[in-house]
Amino acid sequence: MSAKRKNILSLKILILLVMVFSVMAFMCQCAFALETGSPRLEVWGYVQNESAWHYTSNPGLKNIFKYKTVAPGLGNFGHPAAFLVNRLSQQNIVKNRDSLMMFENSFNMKMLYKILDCQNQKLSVFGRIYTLVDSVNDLTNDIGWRAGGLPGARRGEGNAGHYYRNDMHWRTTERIPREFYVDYNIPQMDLRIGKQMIVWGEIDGFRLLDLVNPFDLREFILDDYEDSRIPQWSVDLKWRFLENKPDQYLEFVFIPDFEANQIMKEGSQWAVDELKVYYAGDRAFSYVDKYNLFSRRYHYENKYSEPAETIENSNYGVRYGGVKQMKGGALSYTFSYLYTWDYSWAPFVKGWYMPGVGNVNSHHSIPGITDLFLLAPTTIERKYNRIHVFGATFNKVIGKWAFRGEGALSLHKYLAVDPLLSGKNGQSMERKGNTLDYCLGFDRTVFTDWFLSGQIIQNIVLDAPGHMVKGLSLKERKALDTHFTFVVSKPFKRFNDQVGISALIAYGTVGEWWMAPKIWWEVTQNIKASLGAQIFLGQHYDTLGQFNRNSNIYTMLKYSF
Amino acid sequence: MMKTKRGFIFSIIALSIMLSFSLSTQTLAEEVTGITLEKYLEQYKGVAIKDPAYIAQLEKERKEYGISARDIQVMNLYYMKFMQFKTWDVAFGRLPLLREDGQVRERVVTRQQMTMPPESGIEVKGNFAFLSPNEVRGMKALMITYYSPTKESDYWMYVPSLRKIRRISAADRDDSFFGSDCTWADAADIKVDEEKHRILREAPYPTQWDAKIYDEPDTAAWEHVFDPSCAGKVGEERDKCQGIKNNYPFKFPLDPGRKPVTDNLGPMCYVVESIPQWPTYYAKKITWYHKDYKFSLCQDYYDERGRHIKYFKRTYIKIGEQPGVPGTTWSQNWWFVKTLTTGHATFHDVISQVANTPIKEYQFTQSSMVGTGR
Repeated sequence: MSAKRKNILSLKILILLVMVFSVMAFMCQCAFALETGSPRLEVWGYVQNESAWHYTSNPGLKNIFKYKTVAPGLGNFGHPAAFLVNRLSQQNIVKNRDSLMMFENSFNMKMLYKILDCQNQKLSVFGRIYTLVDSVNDLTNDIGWRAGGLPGARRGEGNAGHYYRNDMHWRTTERIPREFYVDYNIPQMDLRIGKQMIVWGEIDGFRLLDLVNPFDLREFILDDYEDSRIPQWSVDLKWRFLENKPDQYLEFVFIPDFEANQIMKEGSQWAVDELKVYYAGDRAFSYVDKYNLFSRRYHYENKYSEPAETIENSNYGVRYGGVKQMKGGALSYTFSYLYTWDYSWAPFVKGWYMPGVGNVNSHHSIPGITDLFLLAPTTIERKYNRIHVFGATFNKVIGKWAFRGEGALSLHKYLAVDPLLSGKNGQSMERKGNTLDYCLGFDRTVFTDWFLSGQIIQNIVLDAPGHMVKGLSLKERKALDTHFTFVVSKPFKRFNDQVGISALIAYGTVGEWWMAPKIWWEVTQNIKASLGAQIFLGQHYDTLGQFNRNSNIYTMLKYSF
Repeated sequence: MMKTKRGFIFSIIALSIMLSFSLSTQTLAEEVTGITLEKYLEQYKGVAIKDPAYIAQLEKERKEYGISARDIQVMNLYYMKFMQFKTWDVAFGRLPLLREDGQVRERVVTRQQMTMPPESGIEVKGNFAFLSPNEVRGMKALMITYYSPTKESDYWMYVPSLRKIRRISAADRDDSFFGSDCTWADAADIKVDEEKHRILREAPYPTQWDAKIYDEPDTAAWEHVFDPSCAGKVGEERDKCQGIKNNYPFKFPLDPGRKPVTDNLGPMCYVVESIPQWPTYYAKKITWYHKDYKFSLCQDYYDERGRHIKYFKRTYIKIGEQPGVPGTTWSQNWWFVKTLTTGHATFHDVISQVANTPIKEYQFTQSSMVGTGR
């Protein structure tokens, strides 16, 4: 942790403590009025081991960059840059199908101190410590990375331990204090100040409105949200503005703290294919620059910038929620607006190198001719972008069905386009555009205790720009993306509900699947064991299908205290 | 420097908001009107029953017993739903789940309820939250029931692991209530005319204490409720055991030596048969209603083959506005339900309950379901 971040952290903690004690001083007439006799301090948490084994081997994705459109005459050779990109890519590999994939021990402890606990006035401080050690790379040599290599560049095989969740290791301290906030609750409002998670939205598995906080995606979306959602220093005020209708509220969110999504490192098991292309491309163009393969005039630069933590750069959000009484039962709804950073960076190509011409900032492309000579980007700048997200959610019971849904209209979102085909000013591969995402879902219980849940999720790019691509791979992206999810679970009465099964099935219409069956056993009140599998099927560069070599069987043992 | 200044201004503003709201708290005086039994009964008079045979049977009962089985059930609901209180607050209740082999899974819960004025159309708003164990800690349910005999109740549930609120279909009332032997329908959510009721007879409640309860394994799970010296005793010997005279404040460790209310033993009862008019897991229910107060002391459930599949026993005490001090109004105390087909049982011990505390309506909203640290 840098000294600068440490100073900011200590300042924030100091401010919180000053506020807590100031409030206590004003309210001492009611302090410690614990009518229930409950102890003021509560501590609880768990320790957990999660182990997983691959059941497929993975030789690594060969020739990750296969772009042929601009150079059809070159056959399998494809774009001139492809050779370098592919030779310098670094891929995760799994040598044997029963290789250990994960041996993760985590510790989660929560502390709640009730300063004030009156019937209609509560003041509490909450903190959470979360840390984990994944010792997989100390236990096996069967997983790691493999690089093709060129003279003078890294090649051969290695241990992915340097890349895979290394900064979550116990030796670092940055993310161990996970949450720390003060809660103040009175009939008119709930105020939460501090490092916290703010969760919006109704749906499971996909995040359409749950965009307030960034996420740790280093284990794709397999981590519990509780662990993968990254808390931020923020203020969350829920104001019940109508005294006689307290079920209506306005929520104001203010986040002056910037955190980015944590993405997979190069060579890690859960690196998405688009990132593999980025890492390989970055490696290739640095190589070209280093050895002057094109010309001494070619210089490659990779810039990265995060927004400064200023008031102007803060995120803001407002949400209105309520309940409408209807003849057939209540309708719950929310409407929200969030002005936030897109927590995933977008790559901006700021210029190209053209043999015989030199560096060009823009060009008028003639597909198949001009672009053949555009060999390499001179500058890639990874930046975060501001977006506006308008959202709405609902839930309503109709008969035996509980329906829920949410929609998100995102404005000014960067969309990747093919920089070589996308028109006259093709120097950048990012276009601003708008997207509409929605989900409709149901929950239903049948035969007393079989719980069923289904969802349809559609992501629509409005006025989709031409030659839209998924990312640096330049694979075509369609304007409509559809997924279905289905969950079934059942506890067994025969075992007094201490044993149960569940299964998640997700299907993408591009032909991808994710299936996650599980059986769990509450051994005692404190110990829970699970055995399950994560099965992925599909093609590379598809959201779920790209992990078809990461299918695994896992066990989990959790002790709660 | 910029950050320091921003943080300081930010904290001052937040502090001011907190203080201004706290000062105005005292001025909020939201009166919620309780509803009398007479008013509650009136709600059901306007409901048209279409089955002439059932109408005739109820009329006949009124002549014979002075009251019909349906009226008894309405009055029972009045007590089961705590309609006589403006608010009802169970700060701590234990909900051990008892396996046939003796294993006990302990749950500690808290529960609150508010009776709404009839003009709102809402009967009661209630919440139910788990304090322990940690696996379910922070899980919270919000319930709204309506006066309208045809309008289904509404339920929401907060799931801490997802940090999201989930809607539950009221039609799933046969579902287990948080893993207990109690269904959502048992938790006071059954409409009067969803069953057809018939008085079978008047009879004294068996004075012999139901040995089945004491035969349950691991009676230590609720020995603090009963005087252990009463355990296993039957007949007159059992009746000599003292009953609970009031409710108790919550203490650690739990007080042993508490005794059941003897009022459950021996009073005259109406024995009423109820046949469900909706597809559910039981075909018949026999209820013993206290003749004077009309609250149910015991319910036996039978399937379509006539097999006894479940029983549900309740006790009542008089509570007031102070925990541990007896009041003037009857309220449910502990209850015990056992599923005979599995041997699984659930015991709910209301450790501390008070009536008419200054609970406010905001505590029954979705925005307040997200607790600190959950």
